Amino acid sequence: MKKLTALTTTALTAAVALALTGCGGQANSSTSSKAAEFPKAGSTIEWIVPSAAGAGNDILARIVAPVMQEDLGANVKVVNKEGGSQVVGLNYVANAKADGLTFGNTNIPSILGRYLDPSKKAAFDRSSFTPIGAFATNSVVIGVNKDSKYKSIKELFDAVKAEPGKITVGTDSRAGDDHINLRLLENQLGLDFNIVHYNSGADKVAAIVSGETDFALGGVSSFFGQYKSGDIKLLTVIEDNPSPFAPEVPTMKSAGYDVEPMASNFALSVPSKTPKEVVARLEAALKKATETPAVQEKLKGAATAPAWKSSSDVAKLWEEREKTIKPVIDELLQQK
Amino acid sequence: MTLSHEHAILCKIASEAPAEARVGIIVGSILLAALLLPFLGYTVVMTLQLGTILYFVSKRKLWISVAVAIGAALASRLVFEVWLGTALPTASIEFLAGLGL
Amino acid sequence: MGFDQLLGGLATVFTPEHLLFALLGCVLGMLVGVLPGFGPAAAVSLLIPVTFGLDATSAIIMLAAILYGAAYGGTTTAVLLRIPGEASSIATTLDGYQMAKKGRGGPALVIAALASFVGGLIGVIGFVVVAPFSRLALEFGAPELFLVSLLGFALITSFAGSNPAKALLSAAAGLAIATVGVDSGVGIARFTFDMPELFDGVGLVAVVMGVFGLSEVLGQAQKGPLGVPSPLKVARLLPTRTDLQRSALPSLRGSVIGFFMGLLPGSPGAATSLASYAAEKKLSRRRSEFGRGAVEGIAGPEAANNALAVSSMIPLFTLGIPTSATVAIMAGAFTMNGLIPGPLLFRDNPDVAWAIIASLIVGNLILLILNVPLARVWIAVLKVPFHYLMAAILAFMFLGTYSINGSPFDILIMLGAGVLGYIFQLVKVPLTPLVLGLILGPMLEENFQRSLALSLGDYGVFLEGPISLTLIGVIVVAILFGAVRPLIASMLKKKSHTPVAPKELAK
Repeated sequence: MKKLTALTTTALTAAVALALTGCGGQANSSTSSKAAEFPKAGSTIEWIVPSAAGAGNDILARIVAPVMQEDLGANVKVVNKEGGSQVVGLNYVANAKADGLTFGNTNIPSILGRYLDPSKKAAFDRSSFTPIGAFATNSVVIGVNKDSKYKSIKELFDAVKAEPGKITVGTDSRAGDDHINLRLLENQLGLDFNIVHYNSGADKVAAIVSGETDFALGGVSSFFGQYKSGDIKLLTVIEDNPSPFAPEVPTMKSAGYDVEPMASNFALSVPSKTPKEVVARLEAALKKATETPAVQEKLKGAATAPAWKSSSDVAKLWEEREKTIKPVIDELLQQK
Repeated sequence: MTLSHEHAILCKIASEAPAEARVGIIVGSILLAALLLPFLGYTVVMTLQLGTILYFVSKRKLWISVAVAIGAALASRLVFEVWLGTALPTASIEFLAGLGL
Repeated sequence: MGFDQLLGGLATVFTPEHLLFALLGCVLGMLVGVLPGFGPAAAVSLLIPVTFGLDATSAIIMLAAILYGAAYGGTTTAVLLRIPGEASSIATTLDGYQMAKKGRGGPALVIAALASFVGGLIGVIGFVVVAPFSRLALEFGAPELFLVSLLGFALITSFAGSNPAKALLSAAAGLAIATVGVDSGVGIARFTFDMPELFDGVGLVAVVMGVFGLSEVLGQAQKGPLGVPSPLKVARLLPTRTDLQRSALPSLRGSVIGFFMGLLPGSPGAATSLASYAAEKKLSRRRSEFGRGAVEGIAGPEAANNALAVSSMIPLFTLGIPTSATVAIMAGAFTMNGLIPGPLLFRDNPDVAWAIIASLIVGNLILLILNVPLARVWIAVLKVPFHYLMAAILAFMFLGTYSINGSPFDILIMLGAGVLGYIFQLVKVPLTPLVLGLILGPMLEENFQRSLALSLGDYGVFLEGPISLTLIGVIVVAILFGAVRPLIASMLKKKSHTPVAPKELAK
């Protein structure tokens, strides 16, 4: 009860302060005083995870959130808002009050597929968000069954060229990251796969282990257990440098293919109208959490590389990735 | 104004066709509550919904209905927010949000 | 792998510290699981932060205990209030709630706990025996899973009641609801009205809570009178000797069914417990008691449920592949504690692996011990006068449905499903086929599309391999005995009757 009354009183004082300064949305006039106050002790910050409880995003959020909570001195609650392949949760973040009390996962490049594909009816685009930073990356790899006849990425792609549309590859969902990455690969290298959609990353991996599909593409973390046990052989990492989790796996570049790196970045954003000082405060808290050794260890345990990217770096990356993907995405997803 | 008007209609329905009206009031109150949830926030909506059901369907005295509704709404919010650490929707109307609802 | 390692694991679990965490996990899981909408997966994810700071073994023992506790919490509401906390306790509502209505809620809860324990125990024994061969489960690819879900439709006959046509209508309604959403194969939006909330389809848990839970409240409210408190009498807490005798075989059969279904990719929990219910109904000499409070109808599905919960962990331990959302979250818990799920677990951390497997038995044992006295507490809920209980149930369902996805939209789905269920009950259409259609529809469609995508459009893919051929054989037999034989029988019966008088037809 004590906590609730504290909550009510803080909210009340906040309301009075707002009323006195005479502003609701356009907080620019009072930003300096607001930033000093942000976040109020005992206030609640919602971390919106647009996927189900237990999904990769969710697990990582639950690793990072408690450390941010400690630094901010406010409750950071992980809230799952699943649905519409993340659009429901992202809509919620984009439309939330720009007070810094709501932020969410805007992973790059995942989010691009949500708003650049008009059929998803997203109520947001890049301008709806201000990034507060990114805390981890997941390299994209290509894997095959341990008994596969394809021993290298070149053998695999040569086989695809020899028999266009015959070599099967599984994705974790239609129009998800895997699908977009595969279509980009087809586009850049002039290949043609038989793309088959599964329901989850686990189903996709199971199809490789059982030999139902010929190969699969995805984040290194989703193949990590099977890679370590030898059930899945990784042929390449689509990155300029080898992944620390699979150091002996050659990069796409070293195999002679010119493909843009595809790593997925776990980025967080607030609604775009959030005051600069509030963004800076959240950015500092996220940076501190990312650099905490205990967090780093847990992230590595989940085969995800802790990697800090500042708010401005994420914004730049977002803009660049959008430029490369935008012209092709619509066409890519309509074709298959 | 609208509330008393609504009250009059509900009373009329309740006295005329009690059985079906009870079902109608339950369905209507859940429907309204779900639609108003983003605007009024959890606490207000739950109080109104419980109060309506207790008063019109369960035929409790008005003050009991109101007291139980407010108590249950606050208690459930406490359990979810403090104990389970999940977030319940808050009001988007400035006045109510200011009250912490 | 073997039983001696399992005993070693048991020894590890039976330390005060580990037992304490198992107990804590069971209690927390049960409390959270009682809230409708909080299934095992949600409960584990909610409580993951509680395990931070524990060593890996304790953390995972506790999380596994939370999983079972939450599943049992769902059973409690299914029996007492006819609200299935998650889809897999639908079967338990059918007879459990009827028993509770007759004042036998106590025995129903205790039988559920006993059957769960049996299921868990057999699941773990099966784990040790079957784990080395678990790779065989991967032989069930998309075509085989399509045939399995097709076979699942044979279950409808068991839930048909007296009028098969109404059951088919109900199943068709379920299939129709299942078509809502963006189709997973080619991305066509069906009945989504451009609302992102509907892109992933209609939420199963919201529908189940509405169809069973809300429709019952509406039915009660319609019947009235609500002003008069009519607490259900609670005759007896413990099951009788006959109850126990009647549940013994169903528990064993349910365990076996659940165990094997859990190995399949997808581990369809709800369909499995319904399959166990159907099996018990077919085999029982007291077929007419089903749906009116037969203990067999609780024992079988509950055992199946728990055996499935254990065996669905096997692919995670042996291959590192989580086959369901619930297991996926356990996989997340493993990685967060620095353990890589998969065969390496047995090589690098055998003590931890076996301790966790052993803790699956211990967790179920703790739940059993806890729940015999706790049944008395739960039953007390039924002594609350209905005019208050009803308001509380409605509030719980409102809150629970909201919590599934943090979306008011699911409340509307639950409400719609509740009204549909209420109307179905008024016109005496059975509800279970609807849910069955909703569960099986997406499985059927997705695996059909996937099979054809894999085979590049060649329908022969469904006839390849011994598993497919066996399944087709079983389907043919099921159709012959389930549909054709009764049809012929009813036609023969009609012939012997006197023809209907034209005067009656005119009416």
